[in-house]
Amino acid sequence: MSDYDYRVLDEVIHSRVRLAIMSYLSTAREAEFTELRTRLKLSDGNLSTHLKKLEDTGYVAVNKGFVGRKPQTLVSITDAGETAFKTYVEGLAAMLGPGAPN
Amino acid sequence: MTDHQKDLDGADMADRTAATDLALIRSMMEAGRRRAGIDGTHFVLWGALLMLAFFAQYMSVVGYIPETIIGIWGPVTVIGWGAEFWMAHRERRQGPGRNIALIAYSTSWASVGLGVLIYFVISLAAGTFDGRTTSILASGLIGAAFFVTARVTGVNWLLYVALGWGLLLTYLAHTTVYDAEMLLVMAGASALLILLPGQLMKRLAADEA
Repeated sequence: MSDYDYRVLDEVIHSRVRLAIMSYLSTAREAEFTELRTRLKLSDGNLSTHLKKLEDTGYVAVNKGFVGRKPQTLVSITDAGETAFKTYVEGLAAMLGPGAPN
Repeated sequence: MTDHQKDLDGADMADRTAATDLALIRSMMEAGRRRAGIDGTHFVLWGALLMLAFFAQYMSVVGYIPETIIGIWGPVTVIGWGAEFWMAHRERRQGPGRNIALIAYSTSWASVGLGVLIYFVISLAAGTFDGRTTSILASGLIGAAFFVTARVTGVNWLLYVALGWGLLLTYLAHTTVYDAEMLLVMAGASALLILLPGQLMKRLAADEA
């Protein structure tokens, strides 16, 4: 943690799991709950906890519905989430200085 | 799945740095971009069908097979759209299909099919069918669809494919002669600028899976 002053970063996104979720959604725009669970190798409960925090902060929207008779939970990034993620990445890159990879 | 994505919740905070976090962000963004992407099946389907149809039309024009426009393009239309409807039905059963990039991608390619189909049906009915006009229309629509696909999926090399169709459109609009050899050019363009990118996309999608 020598050069990593995380206190200047958004603490909601800073959790490694939530950072991974936000990174994924920043390009995929939305994903199924099961897809995120598989990709991040998390349990249902663990993923739900992290998504709840992101949803409460307004960074993601969680919509439950059906495809045919099959229940489906879709998670999508919000405008606020996109802005917060961008700010987070810029802050992170600033820590690494001008030599930071793009 | 990269090393950055393993055991996210159990990551040792002492090992965490801005650099490792940026690496995680990059790998997840790339995975998300590919999730929003495409597997190239539609390209392979239409690239193969168009290549065969243009080649058959060339053979027809030079007299190797009987001259028939409907006999060549009719089956291509039926097979192509039949396969599209079957794949759309299968995708609806398998997943959400609501990803905005997928919607933009499928809509742009549906526009290609509809645009060419409308011209084909109306011009044949009115007796105004013209091969050069078809090629110009198809090149413009396909180039635009590749441009949209490249932008929404982030697969930037598809921009070169769009550029290829733009160059072909420029050539077709400039030339005054549309002879049998132009049909071979269109068959080659279908193979090089639709079928081949489709195969590459399928390979990329398979690697990601």
